Amino acid sequence: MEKKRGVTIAVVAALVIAVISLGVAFAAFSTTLNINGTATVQATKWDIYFSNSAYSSQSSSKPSSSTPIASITPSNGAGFTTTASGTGNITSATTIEWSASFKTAGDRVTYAFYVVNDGDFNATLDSTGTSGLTQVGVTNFTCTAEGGQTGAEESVCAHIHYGIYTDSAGTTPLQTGTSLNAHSSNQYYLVAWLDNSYGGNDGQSLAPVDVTTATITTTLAYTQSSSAVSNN
Amino acid sequence: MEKEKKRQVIAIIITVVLSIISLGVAFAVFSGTLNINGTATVDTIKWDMYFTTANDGEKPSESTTIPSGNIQISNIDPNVTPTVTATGSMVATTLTWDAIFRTPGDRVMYTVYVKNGGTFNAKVTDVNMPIPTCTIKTGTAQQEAETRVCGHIHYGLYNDTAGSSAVAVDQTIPAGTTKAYYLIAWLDTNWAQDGSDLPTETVKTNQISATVSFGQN
Repeated sequence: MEKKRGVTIAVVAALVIAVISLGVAFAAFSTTLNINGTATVQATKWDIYFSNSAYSSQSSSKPSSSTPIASITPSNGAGFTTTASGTGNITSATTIEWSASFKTAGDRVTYAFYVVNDGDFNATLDSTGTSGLTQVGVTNFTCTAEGGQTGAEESVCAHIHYGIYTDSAGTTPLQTGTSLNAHSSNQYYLVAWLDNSYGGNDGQSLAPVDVTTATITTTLAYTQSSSAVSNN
Repeated sequence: MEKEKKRQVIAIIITVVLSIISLGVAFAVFSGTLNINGTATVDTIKWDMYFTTANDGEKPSESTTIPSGNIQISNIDPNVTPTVTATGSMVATTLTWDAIFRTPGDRVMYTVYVKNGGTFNAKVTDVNMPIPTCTIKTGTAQQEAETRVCGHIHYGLYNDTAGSSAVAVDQTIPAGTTKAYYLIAWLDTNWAQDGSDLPTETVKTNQISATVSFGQN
């Protein structure tokens, strides 16, 4: 009888243990999903600069040191023999410094240069940050008369003009929004002149002393454009 | 007298035997069988979580390319054209992806599905998204460049296309249903404005081994 009771207890215990084990096996269900990936950033470049040469895929035209502007053309728009002269340098890849001297009404100096996009991203001349594309004396810059003479500088300053143009004749001003694609260049013309009305008909308003402008500053701000990146 | 007595005894014995037999016969007649008929069924149960390329899609038994319609490229700046090359594939419980970026802001989004093909509700029990690392070449300058570039690469698994709701623990997938997830990887726009920190050599991450674990809900 005792033996029979012992067997019964053992069987019940075994059943209980089996039920508990079954419960434990259900809670262990799990799965791990694997997400394996790689990301690559390709080598790219953003590089826009001034140059005397157009873009070339064979060699860089980026000036490594201060370089004289190669094309400086004096002329006279009033039909007179020009008495203009000018100097200019690409002092760093992103800076041009120029100086012009006028004597005769109509005197004019034209500097030709390139803006090169040697990077991998198309660019646009952005209205934000671009300034001074065309400048008229007095309105946009001041002048100083030699010896501090007052009066002369204002009257002369008003006859001095300057601008950046897409043509050598200076008829088409450079506009913001102009594209400059990757691996290409645009040629522009910096034109500074003394207008034809300087001095009047009687020459009474001619400056008795040298009149010099303050530094005329123009900024070309390029930003990445929405067009596709070059795959060159 | 003796004969009569013997006859009586025999009769009594026979009677007793007959009684016993009758009793036995009586016991054999009084009986019935009780039948207990029944059946036990073990319901089909299954635990099966896997990637698939479509809502309620089949379980890919071999490497399956993620359809091009499930891969969207864009740029964080809507004014910039994306320059992304992206591919991906999956098989059962493994998703593999690869993206090539060229422009800051480049972004790729893979639409993938996780199906609960089992009979138990499931929930996310763990999400592991390690930060990408890049192979570092020898040389201080290159090491610095690659570490810097690597820091601009980001990715994650999301519940929405905008990438605002990351997949997280305790989110559920009921039995028999499919959930869409969005694996988004991108190159951020936190670069120097003059482009001076763009990579001069291609930089590639080491394999990014992320995991999402599901358990019974």
